[in-house]
Amino acid sequence: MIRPISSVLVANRGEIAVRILRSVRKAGLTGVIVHHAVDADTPAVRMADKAVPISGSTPVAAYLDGPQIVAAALAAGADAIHPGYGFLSENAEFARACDAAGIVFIGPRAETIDLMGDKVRARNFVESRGFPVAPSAIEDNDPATFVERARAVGAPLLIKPSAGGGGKGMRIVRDLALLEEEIERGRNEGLRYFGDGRLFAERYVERPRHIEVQVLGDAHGNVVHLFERECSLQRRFQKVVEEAPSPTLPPDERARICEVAAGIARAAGYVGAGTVEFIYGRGEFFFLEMNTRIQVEHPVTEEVTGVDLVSEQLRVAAGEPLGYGQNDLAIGGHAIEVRVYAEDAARGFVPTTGPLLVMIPPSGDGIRIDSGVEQGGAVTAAFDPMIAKLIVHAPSRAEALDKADAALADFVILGCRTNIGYLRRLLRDPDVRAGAIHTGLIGEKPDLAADPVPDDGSLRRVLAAAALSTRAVVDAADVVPALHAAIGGWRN
Amino acid sequence: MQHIFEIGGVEHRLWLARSGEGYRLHLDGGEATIALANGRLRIDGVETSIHVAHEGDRLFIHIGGDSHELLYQDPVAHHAAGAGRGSQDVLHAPMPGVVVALSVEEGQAVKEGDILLVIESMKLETAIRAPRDGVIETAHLAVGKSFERDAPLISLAPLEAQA
Repeated sequence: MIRPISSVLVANRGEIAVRILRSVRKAGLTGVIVHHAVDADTPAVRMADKAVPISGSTPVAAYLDGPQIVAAALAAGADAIHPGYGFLSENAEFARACDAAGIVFIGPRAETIDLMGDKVRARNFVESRGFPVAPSAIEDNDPATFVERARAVGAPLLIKPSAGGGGKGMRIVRDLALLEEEIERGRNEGLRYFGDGRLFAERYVERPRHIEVQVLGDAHGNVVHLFERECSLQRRFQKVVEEAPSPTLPPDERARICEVAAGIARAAGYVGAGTVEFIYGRGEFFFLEMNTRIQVEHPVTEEVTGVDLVSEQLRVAAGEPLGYGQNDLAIGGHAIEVRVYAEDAARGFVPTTGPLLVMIPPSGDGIRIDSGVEQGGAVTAAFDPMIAKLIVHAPSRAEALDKADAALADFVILGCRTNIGYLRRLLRDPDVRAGAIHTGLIGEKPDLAADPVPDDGSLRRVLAAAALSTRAVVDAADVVPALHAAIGGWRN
Repeated sequence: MQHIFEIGGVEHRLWLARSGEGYRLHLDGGEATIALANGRLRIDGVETSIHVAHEGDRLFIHIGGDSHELLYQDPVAHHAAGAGRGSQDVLHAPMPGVVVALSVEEGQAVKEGDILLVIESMKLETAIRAPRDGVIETAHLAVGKSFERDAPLISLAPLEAQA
């Protein structure tokens, strides 16, 4: 069914709003944006053909207000809504509200969002279709056989309280001879912390890697994958560096993991762009979850495949068939994305705020900047402190790392502290260069976060620049004659 | 005249003198001939591209791929503070936050260690205390006002002014 779209409302802000509007404009469609007052003077709002103000008790609340946004779309004559990521992007109720109002929701069907949004249902669905999930044993299913079933899962094993969270009561069992003892300890801790001693055991992946696969499906039953991204460099579950392809996945494992992702999307009747996330270690991989939206790190896939994922979302939402198959897609070169944040790595990565007195992004062949702020703007505490995503593309991973380092060095942001220095140290780390990465790497290398002590040469340069840029210092020098000037009678 | 720039809490002293078309920089670590034109810094003949931005006494410099934040210390204020056991005249915010209580008013005499105001940052309350005996010259922010890191919170009257 073809549903032509002529005008798209972007229900988001910042860099992803700019990114979506770029593809909307490329397709020759009208771009509408909603914005809270704090975002009135941002590039996304200036770029849109129409801008509709929205309000809320907080700026975030405005962007979460589905009914207000649907009303804005109707008032502006938009026939589709792109939710971006975050906010309403994985809200099935919002997708239904769009349908009910006769507006195309640019994303999968509401029931797909419901299925993948419920982690237990999603896991059961994936397992029932024969795809790999982490082997596990749930005590509640049959308490009498829990120990046996946990033993059958095999070591290493992670025991968690069913009612748990935050790592409390979690125990790693590497020697199954200690299983019963550890189960008792886990049960006692569960009782102590949560008043609930029921347990859950699953296979523990040592030094796991986070590998995810981009998929695209159309309304005619065609599904393709666009290969994997590796996002193992994370800090507290927040991705810091993403790359495509994965630096160390052997070709046969790449083929398997990508085929499994496409298979899951096909089984779910997936329409639109989505990402299947896996945990990977020692040749094994298990389904983690599926994100039913465009992701922050989608540009690395775009760079290596040459596919504009947002344009594909727009085409698929209008009912067009993909028009190409798996064999038409290939990986070219290596792409790396780093997230430039306003944060102080040396002070425990606390978010910083401040004016963007100067902001000069790097440019050049193979360098892409996705940003929602510009010089003269500011980083405020109202939203996530991301300033920009820097994406580089080069023939090889080593060249991409070098290009990312050079581009970060050229990225001038003055007025608030950023993580640029930290990112440069991280990308130069020998383990990162070697591709020996895992989700715990950043946590294991806290020294990278410390501000390096400048050497005498660089300190001298900084102080020379400071002296010559400070009026009071230059003025004080200018009123005192240089020796030869004094001899010549400088007052005249 | 000697000038002081603070980088990451460390004070650096320098002075500058005219020298031909440029300047001569004197630091603890030595001297150099320097000039700045069209965004290029020249030190002893070697040029580097730089970017600089100011915000009050704060200075931001991008050079050689790194960004630096400096605080220029006004020589007059610093001299006054130096006369009184090296204590401070202006209390700057240690982090961004909001003023939740103000315990003093302008003109009030305070003793070292007295609580001057309470700020809330990152959901933690912190008491800002007087670094020395003195008189409150300016309370820069009222209760409920938010501020960025390094913003002036309280100024004490310079010691010689109280004599």
